[in-house]
Amino acid sequence: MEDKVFVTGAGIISALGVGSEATLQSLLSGGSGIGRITHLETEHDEFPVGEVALSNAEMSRMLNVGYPIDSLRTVLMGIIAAKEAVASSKLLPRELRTAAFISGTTVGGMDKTERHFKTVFDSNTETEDSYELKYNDCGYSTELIADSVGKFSLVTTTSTACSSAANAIILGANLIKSGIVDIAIAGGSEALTKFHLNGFNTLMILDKDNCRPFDRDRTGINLGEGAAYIVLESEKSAKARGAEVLGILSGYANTCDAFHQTASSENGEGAYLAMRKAMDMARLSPRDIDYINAHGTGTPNNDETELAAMQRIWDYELPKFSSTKAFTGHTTSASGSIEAVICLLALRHGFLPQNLGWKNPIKDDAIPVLEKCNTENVENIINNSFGFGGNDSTLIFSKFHKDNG
Amino acid sequence: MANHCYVNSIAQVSCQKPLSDEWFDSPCIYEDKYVRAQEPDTKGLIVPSEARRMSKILKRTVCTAITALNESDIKQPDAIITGTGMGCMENSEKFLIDLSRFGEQCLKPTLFMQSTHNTISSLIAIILKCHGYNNTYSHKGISFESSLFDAWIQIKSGMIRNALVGAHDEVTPFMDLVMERTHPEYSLVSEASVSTIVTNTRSDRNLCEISDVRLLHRPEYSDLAALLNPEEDGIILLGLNGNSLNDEPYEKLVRTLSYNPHILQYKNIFGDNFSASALAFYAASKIMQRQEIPSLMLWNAEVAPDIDEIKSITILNQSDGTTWSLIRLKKV
Repeated sequence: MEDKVFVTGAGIISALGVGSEATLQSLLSGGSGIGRITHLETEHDEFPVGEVALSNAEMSRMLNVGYPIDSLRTVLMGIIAAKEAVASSKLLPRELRTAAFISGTTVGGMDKTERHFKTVFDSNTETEDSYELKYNDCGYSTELIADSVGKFSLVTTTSTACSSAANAIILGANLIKSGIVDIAIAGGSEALTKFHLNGFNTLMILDKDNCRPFDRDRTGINLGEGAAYIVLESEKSAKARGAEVLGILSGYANTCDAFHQTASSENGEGAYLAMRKAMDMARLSPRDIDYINAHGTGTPNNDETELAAMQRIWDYELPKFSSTKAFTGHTTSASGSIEAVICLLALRHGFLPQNLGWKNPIKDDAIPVLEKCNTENVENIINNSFGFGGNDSTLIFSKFHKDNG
Repeated sequence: MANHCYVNSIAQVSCQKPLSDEWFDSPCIYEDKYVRAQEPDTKGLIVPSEARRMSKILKRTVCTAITALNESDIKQPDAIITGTGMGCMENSEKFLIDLSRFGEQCLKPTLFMQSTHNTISSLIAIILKCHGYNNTYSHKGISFESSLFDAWIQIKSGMIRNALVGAHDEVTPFMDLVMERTHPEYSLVSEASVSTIVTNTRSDRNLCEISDVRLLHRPEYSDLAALLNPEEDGIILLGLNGNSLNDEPYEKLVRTLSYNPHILQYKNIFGDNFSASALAFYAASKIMQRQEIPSLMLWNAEVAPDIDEIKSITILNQSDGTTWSLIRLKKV
């Protein structure tokens, strides 16, 4: 079985901007992408969000695409991020022909569904609107992204709410380890919708101010949107192509908290198991972890239980940790890959992203990274993504050294 | 990928008698264009107080999952992997109706909490207290094959020993109206819930072995034909439904083959939805176990093929003509 999974490309779009470079600059300057709602049609303008600045029309012009893609935000953002990932990995069209494309989403084209739903539902006769409900499920979103980027041999969609993109990356890695493919482009895309903004609001876990992950007085999430994909590649293929290696996906695990559909267990069992198993796969001990990019949504429940899980492993000597959700907002299904790209940037550029908005510790010793932290020796990073239903996934990215590659 | 992967048990809820093989000898025949599933008796499978809080798709899921587990050698699976094309449609639809009727105030949290696709897989994990690998795939008509593929790779590579794999889709009356317009290729719109235990361990209980699973995106017909041979793929189970919009890709594939396979169908018995291929997998597993083919499943043939021993069945499914899947089952 193939042992190593290399990361040889990355692409990202979020409230921090379009592309890895813009994302890096925002992270380094400490400028949050969270602000007032401008694109999403909703009454709830009291909630700050991390919207992608571009409108659907702007993205469509940028990509030169028309119907039906021009009104599907998840697809538009997905194409932008996936194209950057493929370009950064310098993959040729013929190399994509044997590659897999795996995308995580839960919302899919719900933004479009909710625009047409009332007309279709209230009408007993066939309306033009009913056809507008066709391309809106998760699988269509993925195929429209995939087909705009290349001619892939295998395309599928994971949908595990806020860990969807992480689970897409895990499938991609398993496909490489089992020798099914040499290259997998994996990640996720998710647009803001009225559906899930209102859904999270019914659970009373949205913050009307900027979110404050791991702060004692945190009150909830700022939702965000975006897309990110990474190129996973077998050692053999990466070496044969002479590909630049951004990092190694040295470990990963998918576990289930098996506790509640929307709350996590008090001792963070699922989160604990995910981090433990991922370290086991990477053959790393807790001491080897330099930084944790936490799920850190800013809800009272998530941050407390994630911290509890971390303390079960590291006790009072927590590694440096932060949540980047105060930069991007919680990009739900895309968060796993958006934060994976952030971790890869941190590995390559030797910095740890700060935890914006933090004031007071939940517990005395639980202080996240507060200022941009320049540090050369970032070797191993844990990236957590936890979803509804207790779908908890951990990815570990390790620095690539020519001699360990 | 040195390990083997077997079907250890399987259970279904559909428009046929639920949690039963009765369709094999006396199938329900429908004249309608849309038929809902026959609801299973939840007694003994779900605690009544919990059943009342579950939507239809969740009840059906738990019934098939618990039945498959009860009939298997496995009590606690290493993984729970679920496919669903549309997810928890009933709750999503109710939430959308409330949104369009009452606006963005006073919405119900329960509808949202149980609207995501992964509600299904998570619910089984919560009931079983199963902390293992848990994933959900939502990819049109190959959602089931995506989850089976994930389980198969992990079992074959030794990452897990066994898995509870399922596919579940519900179609509300409103969704049926939408599907009539957006999916004109369907002929009988139905619902499906299938759960199966797949394992690396040989057992007398096993129905068959899964020797190959493939997902193929926009393959050439010649590529598909090259995967098939008369020895292993003499019997092929196709998603034919008598509607030319749906059947054309299958017929084109058959014309591309260099041999004449025995062709079987299942959508005339089970109907069509994003999880229909899970019912094909169920029907093929049962044929392998019972070593007989129900006459209704024959396509363009009056009598069952004269075969002493059904050694293998290959299921080929396509969604929209763009995405294909292949599952090859072998006699144990």
